[in-house]
Amino acid sequence: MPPFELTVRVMQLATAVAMLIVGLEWHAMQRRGVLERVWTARVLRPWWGWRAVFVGDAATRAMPLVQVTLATTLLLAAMLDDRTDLMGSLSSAGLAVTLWHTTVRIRGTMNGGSDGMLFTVLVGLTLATAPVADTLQRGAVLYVAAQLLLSYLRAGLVKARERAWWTGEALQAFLALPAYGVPPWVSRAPQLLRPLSVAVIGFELLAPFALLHPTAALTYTAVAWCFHLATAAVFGLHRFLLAWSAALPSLWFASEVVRGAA
Amino acid sequence: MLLRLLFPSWAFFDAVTDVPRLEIRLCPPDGAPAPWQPALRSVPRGVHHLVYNPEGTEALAVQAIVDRFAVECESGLADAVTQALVERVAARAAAQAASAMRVAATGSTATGSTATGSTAASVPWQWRVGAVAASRDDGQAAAYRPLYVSALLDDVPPERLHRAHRERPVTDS
Repeated sequence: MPPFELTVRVMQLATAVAMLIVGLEWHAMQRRGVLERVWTARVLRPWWGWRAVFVGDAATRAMPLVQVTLATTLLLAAMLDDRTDLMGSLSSAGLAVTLWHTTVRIRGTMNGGSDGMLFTVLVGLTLATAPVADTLQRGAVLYVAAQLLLSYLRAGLVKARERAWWTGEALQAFLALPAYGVPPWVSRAPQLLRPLSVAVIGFELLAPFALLHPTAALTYTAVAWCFHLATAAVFGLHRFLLAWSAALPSLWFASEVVRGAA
Repeated sequence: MLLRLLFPSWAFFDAVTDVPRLEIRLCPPDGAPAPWQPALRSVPRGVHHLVYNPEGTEALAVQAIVDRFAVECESGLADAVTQALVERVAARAAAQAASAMRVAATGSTATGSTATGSTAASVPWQWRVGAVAASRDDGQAAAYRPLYVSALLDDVPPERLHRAHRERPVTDS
């Protein structure tokens, strides 16, 4: 299978799984009563304005089912042979709308940058599988790769500017934050955190080098996935693991484009 | 909101800053106020939470509301909607605290009245948001910098008490 098609299929599969989890979690949260005790219509309606028509309780309660359904159709689309499948494109577009819906309903992202990355991937997949010009389809996947590289590079740069990150103090402080509920088995030893912090900065700043060769891209993807698995285990950021898993295949495609093979 | 989704900042875990913390306390009308206590607690995680963790996602989303309110307070631009959302979060913690107090009191008295003579449903309460030094997030008073303290609020609504009591059943000791 050519690089573009293979990349899109893998991205669709990973995105479908991610959105399935998003839908199931949103359903579980609503069952726990978050619409009645936190994000209530009474409090938020003044801010919604005209959007109240779309983000009221009835529409919000239907959203998890919509997400699970569209994630399933996206999963099916990933298994079809057609390169430009309208079902995949429409599923991706619909899922992007549901993410926007939740963001408006709760007046912010549910899970910070992971919502942004999932939205980026969904917009990219919408165009990559739409009946549009080849250039636009490929450009959409490259757009996801560009955002992915930017996410690592920017995160690396802001850390590199902080002295506390080079000494390991920053990581130690983040591990101590109660909001993340870091498990007790995670070591807080400074002699470990310091090299680990430097390794994280290095890993993030090295992201552009993954474009130099497909092997470099695949190696970087493997390391990145382990990195996100670790942040999910330590900080509870499992949605970042899901979202970046959906975006990472675009890096390999971008490296193939740089090599001139795609 | 669309722009926030399209152009995230990607500046994860950058600088170590003070950590916003939401706290509540019960203020029985005929007794001394109870000590301030954290309104949000971390959720224990298992292996399956690497894939599916609605409680954890909710906890992070709720903490984001508190973080946003703290930033607004620092900048002097506190928003009424954000404040109302924080108060909703605090109200649940207050309801749970009141419920726990009621259960503890009825367990220790034969008449079913609380130790202070009032029922949980009539306990006024307060909430506050402060900043705790990240490297010293140990609950010490010196590390806490108040940003906002609410007025004394009226009763915890009974329906919230009911929900909190149902979600966190307390067995008699």
